[in-house]
Amino acid sequence: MKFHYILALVLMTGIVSILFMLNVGTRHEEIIVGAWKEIKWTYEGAEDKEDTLLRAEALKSLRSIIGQDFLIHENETWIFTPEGQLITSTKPTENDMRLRWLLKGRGNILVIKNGDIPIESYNITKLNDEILVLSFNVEIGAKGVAELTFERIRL
Amino acid sequence: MLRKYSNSRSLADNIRLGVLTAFSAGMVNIATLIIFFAFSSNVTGHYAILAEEIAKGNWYQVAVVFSWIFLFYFGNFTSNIIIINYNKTHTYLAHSVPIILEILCLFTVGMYGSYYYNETLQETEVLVALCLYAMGLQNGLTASISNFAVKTTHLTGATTDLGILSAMFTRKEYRENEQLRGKFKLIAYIALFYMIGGVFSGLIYFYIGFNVFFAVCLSLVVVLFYDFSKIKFYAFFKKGDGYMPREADIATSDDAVSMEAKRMKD
Repeated sequence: MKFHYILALVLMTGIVSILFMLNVGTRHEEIIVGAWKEIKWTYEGAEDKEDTLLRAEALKSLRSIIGQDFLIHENETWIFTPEGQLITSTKPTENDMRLRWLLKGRGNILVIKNGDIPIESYNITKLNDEILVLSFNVEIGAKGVAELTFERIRL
Repeated sequence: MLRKYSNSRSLADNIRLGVLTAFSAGMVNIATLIIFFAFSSNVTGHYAILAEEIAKGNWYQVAVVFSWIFLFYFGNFTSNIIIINYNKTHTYLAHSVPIILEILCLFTVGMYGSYYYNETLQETEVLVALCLYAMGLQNGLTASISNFAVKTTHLTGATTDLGILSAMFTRKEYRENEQLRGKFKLIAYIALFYMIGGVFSGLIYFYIGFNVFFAVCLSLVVVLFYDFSKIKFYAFFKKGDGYMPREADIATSDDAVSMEAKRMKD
């Protein structure tokens, strides 16, 4: 009978802990809402090279190649609305208006949809009130992980 | 598949059970990975994620992942509470109820996903939780009734066993050991059908979407009714109108089946 009490206590503690953490923790779905300005773009394959002008140029061209297949453009500002809309331009086109953002997994995957069609997904590496870091796999010649760092801006 | 318990099970019983349930688990795992971007059956990975989230101090995510692990545990707990308490008196029923609960969970996921899912994070977290509970129910059942020979929702242990057995088979004395060969065959089948289930799920998802969960339910219904039909068949012949099949034909040598058939006849 003693074991029953211990088991019940352990189960209750587990449930109460879960409920407590759900209440005190911050949900990614809430933090991500707002405007974010891209401040840095890195590619892990190029990290160990010397920081030269040539490298900077190479990174820039690499970024534009990757950007052709992704939403990323130059010095992008992303606005995540509470209704699930993603605005990537200050003067949104009709196409931009169709972009939707969703979080999947445990809130660690950002999925961008065009209408109902998923077009991109990013790993959320870091997300707090000030910084948003997204990473994604690229395959250009050699595989690597690109990382986009955003800073929250007040519009 | 479900009528026999522990040591009274043959290799064929375990293979049949292992193949179908591994196929279902593979399907569910890949379906949740594609739809929700979260695994629903390999809990080891969730433990690693839990540790990572604790280290980062993301308490909401800690709660979510902890609840997923907890529900997998609770699924195993539920299965075995039912089996332990009703195995001796209602064997088939005790082994069927966890599968029925699993079907209900997956059917709910399929129904909700097809008609109500708005792709919010909370919905995703709850649906993944239901899938983990379902996988816990299944794993607890198969492991328990097969004397821990059949575990179908994750392959870490299975791959370890395959590696160990492969190494053992480099010696003739082990190669000729029927029991070890049987074990290797069982695990290889489980791994193969888990993979087939995963690939099948990945392929059909793009055509049928959330209905993939109904396909899983269907394979679980086969698990349920395979034995049910055998019990009915046996009960029919026990009424004594003509031909009585040999015991070996319908695998009725264990007490559990006789008891179930007697109960049905009564």
